[in-house]
Amino acid sequence: MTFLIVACKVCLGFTITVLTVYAVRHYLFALYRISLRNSQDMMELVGFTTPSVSVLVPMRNEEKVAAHVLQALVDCDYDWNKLEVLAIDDRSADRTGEIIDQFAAKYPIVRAIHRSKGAGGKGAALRTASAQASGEILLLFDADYVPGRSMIKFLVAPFCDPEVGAVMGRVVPDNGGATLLAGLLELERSAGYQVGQQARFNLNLTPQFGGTVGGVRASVLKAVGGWNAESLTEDTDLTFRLLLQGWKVAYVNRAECYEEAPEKWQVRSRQIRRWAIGHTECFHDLWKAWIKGKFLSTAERIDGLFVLACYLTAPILVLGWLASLVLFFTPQAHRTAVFLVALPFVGYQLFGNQATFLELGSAALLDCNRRRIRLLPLSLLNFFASTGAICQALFNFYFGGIFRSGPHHWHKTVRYRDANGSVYRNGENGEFASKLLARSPNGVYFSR
Amino acid sequence: MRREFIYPHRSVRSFPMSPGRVCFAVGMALVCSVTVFYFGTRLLDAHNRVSWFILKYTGVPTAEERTIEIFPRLGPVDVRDVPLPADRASPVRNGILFAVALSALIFCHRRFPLGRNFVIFLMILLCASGVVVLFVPSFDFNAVVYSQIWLRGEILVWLLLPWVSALLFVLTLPSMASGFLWSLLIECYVVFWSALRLAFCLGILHYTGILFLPLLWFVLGILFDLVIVLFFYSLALEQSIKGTMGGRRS
Repeated sequence: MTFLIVACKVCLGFTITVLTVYAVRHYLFALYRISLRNSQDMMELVGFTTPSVSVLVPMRNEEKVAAHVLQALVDCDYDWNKLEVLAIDDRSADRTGEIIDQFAAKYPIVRAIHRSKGAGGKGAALRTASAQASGEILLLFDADYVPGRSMIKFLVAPFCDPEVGAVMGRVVPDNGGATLLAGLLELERSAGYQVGQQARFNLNLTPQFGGTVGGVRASVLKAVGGWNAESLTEDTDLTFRLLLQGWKVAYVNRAECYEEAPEKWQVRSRQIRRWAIGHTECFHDLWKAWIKGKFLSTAERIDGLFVLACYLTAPILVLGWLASLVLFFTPQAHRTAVFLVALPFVGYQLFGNQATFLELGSAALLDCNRRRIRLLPLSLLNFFASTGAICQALFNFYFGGIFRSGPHHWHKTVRYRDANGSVYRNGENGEFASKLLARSPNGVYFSR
Repeated sequence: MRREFIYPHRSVRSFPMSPGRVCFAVGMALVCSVTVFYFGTRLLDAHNRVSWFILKYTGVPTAEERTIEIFPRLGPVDVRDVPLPADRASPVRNGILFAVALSALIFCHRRFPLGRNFVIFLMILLCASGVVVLFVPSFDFNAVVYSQIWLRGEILVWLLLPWVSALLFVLTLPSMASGFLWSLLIECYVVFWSALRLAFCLGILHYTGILFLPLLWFVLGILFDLVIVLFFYSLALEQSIKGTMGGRRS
């Protein structure tokens, strides 16, 4: 019994230590971002450089959203002589290929790429498209994203700096009002980008290239070995390989792109499990090289490890909970009236757990997002839900072989954009796509 | 009315902190913490009186007063024992309570997908408690021990809360004055709310025995304090955003 109590106390102490360190990091980011007088937004560089750009849009069974993203891209105010849109139909079984072909026939800047064999997944699709792209800069958008008109100009601006290898923009859900989960994810995304990414960029740490709403230099991509088709999070993998080779990743907070956040928990759960496994794979693949990386500052090195290991905090937290549970049922544990032991524990519960909420609150304040902030206390549900999903994913990752759960697969995120209530939700998808195509041949909202 | 300035885009907004504000936040937190520490015993006494009043008002009988230690220099304070049900060790009774609670949790699990993992967390607590009640009869909590654990946790929350408030409300909200008022409000509220929760837990203890105590401790204890802080934080933010840079409603 004594051994069990000691083991539980050690587990609890370990949990509190690890999570407190993460909490301090979150506090630092939130306070730094909210009090930042001059954020690096790169907007002063817009227009300085107009390199040739290839926009890659991998799609698999995306008939609900394919027309929207392609239309938004051809409507962008970037010089068509320097722009190509590579729409990749990755073995779709629905009308995605047809929609892409219609756009390619109508707009000279759209090129259709149909993949019918080879490895599946986004990484593999990007590999194929990158080989055919002719632009100096490769920009990426997922199929459910709707870039604004100036998005391409904003995203290529930081490439003025020859040391910038990749650029990341800001993802903003446009369906936050659809369900409670979508609302909570809007808050979460806001904190992740408005506070987390911006603070990390300003502090010269490791802003992450997220694999969508971002871009990479074609030459640099080639130099670091291209997309890792094996990885479930090819974006994280690329970010860290770029940083290891001495390239910088820039974050452009002004480059806002609208996405469809998961509206159902099952969809979100699959998404977060994929991220957890992919991230943790990257952690195992890269941590040694990262520690030794010769181009990295100490702060970058530490922050990079925090980023790579972030999903491991979920099982550590569960370990701490279980230890607390055992200690609760152990009368000896309650006889310990040591103020100095109890204080950090309660302090962690209050301060540690508040850290991420301070980030969420700060982001909502900066965004002036009044309605969603009412959901803040309910973020705890999202927190519990994500913790469970991550634990499940990591259990499969580490022990899947024992239970023969098979290799980890890439799951396509379900799309919802077929109801009323948004500019992109006004009709049947096929019909809507046809309407988009029926507009002017040279951009819908303006003439070139 | 004409605005004084053009709102900056959200990508470049910030609310810079002046050194004066930082000093005020630290000073406020320090004064509040010292006040709570200095009047800690009296505060705990007042807290317990509110709990007893609620128990009395709701018809839960209380037994004799017992004096318990909290921490060195904090306490001792008087708490009242609450009689446990006479048949608290009955496996049939505990089994029925366990089954009803588990069924309710399973219903919630099936009905609310987003809350599933939280419900699983509660199920684990309930099952652990059930196993202990069934197989470790020597494990016998009473109201005095439970109150002691509760008060130890809560007094630390009250001591630390001014620092949390300083961070969340005074340092980061656009208006320092409203941040200060929110901080005071939450400190008062959290004491009263703790008394209410303790009374609720003791009431459950009186009627159902110790089966639900761990669950209540984990959910209504410090976790609930966190929820209260979040609730107030969201209200304060909503109020602040209303008057900040054309806060939008969606």
